[in-house]
Amino acid sequence: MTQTKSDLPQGTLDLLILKIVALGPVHGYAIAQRLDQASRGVVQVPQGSLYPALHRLENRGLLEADWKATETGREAKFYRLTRKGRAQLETEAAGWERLAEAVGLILKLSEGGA
Amino acid sequence: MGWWRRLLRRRKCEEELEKELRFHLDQHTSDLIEQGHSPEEARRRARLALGGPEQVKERCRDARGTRWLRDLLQDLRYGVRILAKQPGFTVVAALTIALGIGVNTAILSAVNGFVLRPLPVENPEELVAPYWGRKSDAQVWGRFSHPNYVDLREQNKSLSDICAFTWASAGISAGETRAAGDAERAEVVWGELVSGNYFDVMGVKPLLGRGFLPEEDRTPNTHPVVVLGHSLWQRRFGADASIVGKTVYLNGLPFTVVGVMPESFLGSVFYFRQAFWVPSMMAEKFSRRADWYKDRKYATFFLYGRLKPGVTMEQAEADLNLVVENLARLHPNEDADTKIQVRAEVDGRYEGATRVIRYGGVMALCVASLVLLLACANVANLSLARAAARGREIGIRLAIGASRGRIVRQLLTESVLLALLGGGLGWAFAYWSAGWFQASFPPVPYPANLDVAPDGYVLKWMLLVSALTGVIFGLAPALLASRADLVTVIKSGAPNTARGRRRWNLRGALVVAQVTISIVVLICAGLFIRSLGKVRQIDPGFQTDNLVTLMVNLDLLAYDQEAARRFVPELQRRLASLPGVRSAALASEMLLMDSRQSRGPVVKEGEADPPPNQGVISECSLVTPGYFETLRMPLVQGRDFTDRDDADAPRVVIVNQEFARRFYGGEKEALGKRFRFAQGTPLMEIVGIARDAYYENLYEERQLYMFLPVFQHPRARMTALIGTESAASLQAILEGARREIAQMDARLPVFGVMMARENLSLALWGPSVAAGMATTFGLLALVLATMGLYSVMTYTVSQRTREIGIRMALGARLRDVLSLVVSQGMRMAVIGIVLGLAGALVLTRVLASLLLGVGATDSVTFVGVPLLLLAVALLACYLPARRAARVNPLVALRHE
Repeated sequence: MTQTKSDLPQGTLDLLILKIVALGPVHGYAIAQRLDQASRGVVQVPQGSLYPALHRLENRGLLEADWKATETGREAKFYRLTRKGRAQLETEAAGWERLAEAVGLILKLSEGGA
Repeated sequence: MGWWRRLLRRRKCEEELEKELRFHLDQHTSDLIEQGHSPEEARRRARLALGGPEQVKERCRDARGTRWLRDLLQDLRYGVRILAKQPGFTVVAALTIALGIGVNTAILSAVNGFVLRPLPVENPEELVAPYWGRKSDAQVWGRFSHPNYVDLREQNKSLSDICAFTWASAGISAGETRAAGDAERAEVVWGELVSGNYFDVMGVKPLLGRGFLPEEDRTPNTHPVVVLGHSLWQRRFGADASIVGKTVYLNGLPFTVVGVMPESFLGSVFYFRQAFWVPSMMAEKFSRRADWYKDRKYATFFLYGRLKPGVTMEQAEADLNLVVENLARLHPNEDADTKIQVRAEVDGRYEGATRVIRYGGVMALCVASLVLLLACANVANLSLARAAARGREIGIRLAIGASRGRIVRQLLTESVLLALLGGGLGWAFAYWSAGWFQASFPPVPYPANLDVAPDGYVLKWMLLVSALTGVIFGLAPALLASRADLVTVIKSGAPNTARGRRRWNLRGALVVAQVTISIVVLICAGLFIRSLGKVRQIDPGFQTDNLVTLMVNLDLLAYDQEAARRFVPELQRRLASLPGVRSAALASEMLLMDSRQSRGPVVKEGEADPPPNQGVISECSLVTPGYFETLRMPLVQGRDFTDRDDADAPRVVIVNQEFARRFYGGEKEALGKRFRFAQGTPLMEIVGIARDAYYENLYEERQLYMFLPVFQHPRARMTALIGTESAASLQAILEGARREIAQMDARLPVFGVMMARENLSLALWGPSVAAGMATTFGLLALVLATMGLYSVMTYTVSQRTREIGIRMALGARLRDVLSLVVSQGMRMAVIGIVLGLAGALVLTRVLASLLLGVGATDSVTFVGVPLLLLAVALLACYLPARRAARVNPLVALRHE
């Protein structure tokens, strides 16, 4: 394990899951893979946290799930975004972008001042 | 998917979770194999990446938010298992609680049925009832005349609307011809004469058709329309869906059916089941005087109004009294010195008696709660003993990491489960006792509607109390048990002395509380029983044995006065000549049935009328000659009425002793004197003095009473009283009387047939029920306290077996051991008895108003009850003590 991977900030796992699921119905293992690929291995998502997060989101009605066959023919649980989930994704994404922008601005500021 | 469904589909969820994680692992493994890892290595890495599958599952379950429910289910399952394993404890505990809760539920159902359950109308809490009466009375419960009602309705500013109603009975039939031999027997039904806005004010929608229109209640005798009650519609008209628009006959007159009420609506008064409603303007057809709507003194209507939003009862009362003051100025002869009192419908139910009944209900509930507390104490005691026995199990569970909260929760789940079990049984008990209570109600000549079966409100309450009960009796044992000192408990399995001592103290306190409570309850019971005995001994002042009564109402057939005048003596003659009849008479009132009738203030000859609504009023009965002989109510002076005391003869009257004393200072002085009623009625001469009796009920103080000859004061509704030689012939005479009446006029319905003994049982019903309930409570309390004392003594003895063995080995004799144990138990009993006596002294002061003829500190009760309890306590201590004394010292020493 390399030490360059950073831990996910609190609360962002849900946002990332919602975003990935928003791209189309997907099962848990694929979500884990995509998280890994999309973040280019920078973000460390403990797979053990993924499933509780999925169940929590399902319980809150942000995700829906049903059992479908994969390309290999096995049954897997595919998650979909609900209308509520999509709204949640939009607000959270907007919030995150605002935050990231603000943090970026502050960081630049301190660079210029140094 | 809601958590509830999730919970129900728990197994499926578990399977799906398992399947989902397995899929993840398999996919990851096969990907890793593709990347070149060996299968074992791939599986190991995939496992490592996911983490322990059981932990992940547990976190998923937590994420689903059903964990507490799962715990609860687990606790429940465990609780059921534990309870099932100890059937003896479970049965005793559940039955104990069932008795406690059953008694409470039964009492609350009764209180609910009588004083709490609102009328089935829209927003029943807005409904208020104004009452009318004389200013000089502290409380007034009188009715209103039609003109006063109309003025109040138009001039008040605090009520959104007021409706009026009064009762009426009618012979009902579907056809017009009701000749002799008609298959359709005439039937008497009760209904209400109501104002045109009645159904709007009550806020009830008809099931079929409509209520009344305003114009149907404007002019007298012009709109013969009727709304039928549900049960009458079903029973008499076969639930005919097309009945609206058809004609039915009330008192022989055609009425058009305009509507049918829903099943829930039974009329304005919660204890009557009404069969029909007609506009009040038809009142003349229902035994009201022809000028009823003009006469301001002819008070026949009860009123209900609805408060305007934001108006309080007090404001409404003040506002209505403003109107009354105005009326008094305009109509000084009728309305001077009157006032209005406004009460919520619920509060006006028994007039002034509501307070007493509520009081009684609250008292009964208090006593029942005490019994429930007793039951709780008992079960707590049992649980304590059991908790001690389970100390080892709990110790181990604490040792392997269960939190104390979790243990307490689990023990509480058990006790609440037990309490709910008891509650369920108690519910059955309450249902049964409601049936018994209803059956105990003596027959009345009205369609009484007494529903004291537990309803949804009572069910909710009972569930709450059951759960609370479980917490109350479960909390202390659970807390104590979970405080176990781990090491000692696991090592020895027996409580050490320090803890044993504390537990003993709690158990001792519980026993003392039980004895205290049972003393209080038993003393209440004793007082009620003594009171019933006293009431039974009250001589009502006339004889009720071997007497048949039946009611006839000539108005129902629109008899004219002349025909009625001929009918009454003829009926009396025929009844008196039946075989086995000692004597027969007719009277307007049935005594001791809480019926009242009076005729204005009494004015002695030569005196002037008192101002309106002042002066002394005396109740009266209209009777035929032979009345006093039939009732065996002796005349102490003067003579009975005769056939010659008719409309053409000088007016005569018979008064009671109290009347003679109050107005003339003595019986001799009163005889031959003359008086009249206010407002110029003819003078009446007192020709006889009747011995004082009880007239309305057995609770009354001595009251003024007079008897008027019915031939001088015609009346259509009369009760026939038939005195018989022996009880054996009552039924035959009843049949004979029916036959005679049918021969005189086959159309005449006879109703309210009852033996007079039963009338008296109505008067005795209240005290009987109170005494019966109190006895049940008392016995229950006694049994519970005895059980508690016995079980604690048995437990203590078992704990002290070793000590007793040592004492005996050292030479203690049988008597020493007996006295050792018995004195310990009796100390608790005596403390309890002393505390209980003190409590009872306080409580019975409150009871005093409900007790007849017995002082609240009746010495027989206050000495007898403690003695009884001492004796029982002695027995409860002696039995375990004897067992202890029989212990073989050798066995005892080896004990533990």
